[in-house]
Amino acid sequence: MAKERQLSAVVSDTTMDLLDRHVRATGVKKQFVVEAALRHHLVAVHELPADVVIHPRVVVTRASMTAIAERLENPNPTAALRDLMADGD
Amino acid sequence: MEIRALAKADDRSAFRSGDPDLDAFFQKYAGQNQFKHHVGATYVAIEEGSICGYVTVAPADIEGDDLPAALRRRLPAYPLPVLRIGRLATDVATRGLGVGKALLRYAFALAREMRDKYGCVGVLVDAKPGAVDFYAKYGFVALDVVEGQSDARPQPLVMFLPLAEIESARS
Repeated sequence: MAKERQLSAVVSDTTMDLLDRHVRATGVKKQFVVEAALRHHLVAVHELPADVVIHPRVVVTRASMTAIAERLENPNPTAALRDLMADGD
Repeated sequence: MEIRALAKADDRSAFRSGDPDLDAFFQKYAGQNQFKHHVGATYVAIEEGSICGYVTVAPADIEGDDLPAALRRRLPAYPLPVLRIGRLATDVATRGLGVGKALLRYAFALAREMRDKYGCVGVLVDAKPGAVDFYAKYGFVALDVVEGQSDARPQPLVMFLPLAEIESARS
């Protein structure tokens, strides 16, 4: 067995909740998830320049989140969007 | 015009968008992204046997930074799933033929499919400075991003369009 070392990191509540849910749903150990995720990430950034990776997590300001909530609650498509969608899928 | 997933056999070498970064991404990295690392999927528009445009997408989540309780109550208690358009480009030889619009409409269809299968509330796009007006015309709104900004240069503007507006526009 490879020699092991301990890693400590502060993560967001959301990430911790997602991790807790995942390990509960799958039964895998957190240690396995963290190590696998780190390996995948490091391989990807080694082989791909940072600017070609599409980040999966976007955190926005309170003002932007308010704008998103308002748009979700009150959809109001522009004329250009209506024209675009009228052309078919 | 046909739009389909990028295939390993596709010849990407002749594609010219006029933007060296978009061309380099398509020719060097779109295949790796799709077939090796699985960190993004690219769809190509084909006209008369040649690739005349592409769009690269990946799933993402939006979270709010330090949200007040009142705003939290208006939103689901988990990150908002979205489809993120990382790159969209058209060949200079087919400019003005509606290839960009067709690719955007295709990305919207992917987002609706994602919504039905896995959950998705909207489309994010990393808009290059020259494309901001193109996306704004369709209702994309600029977001102030704290984390998860693209590392591309010049730095793109992150913009959002809710799927509810796309659905409303279809009716």
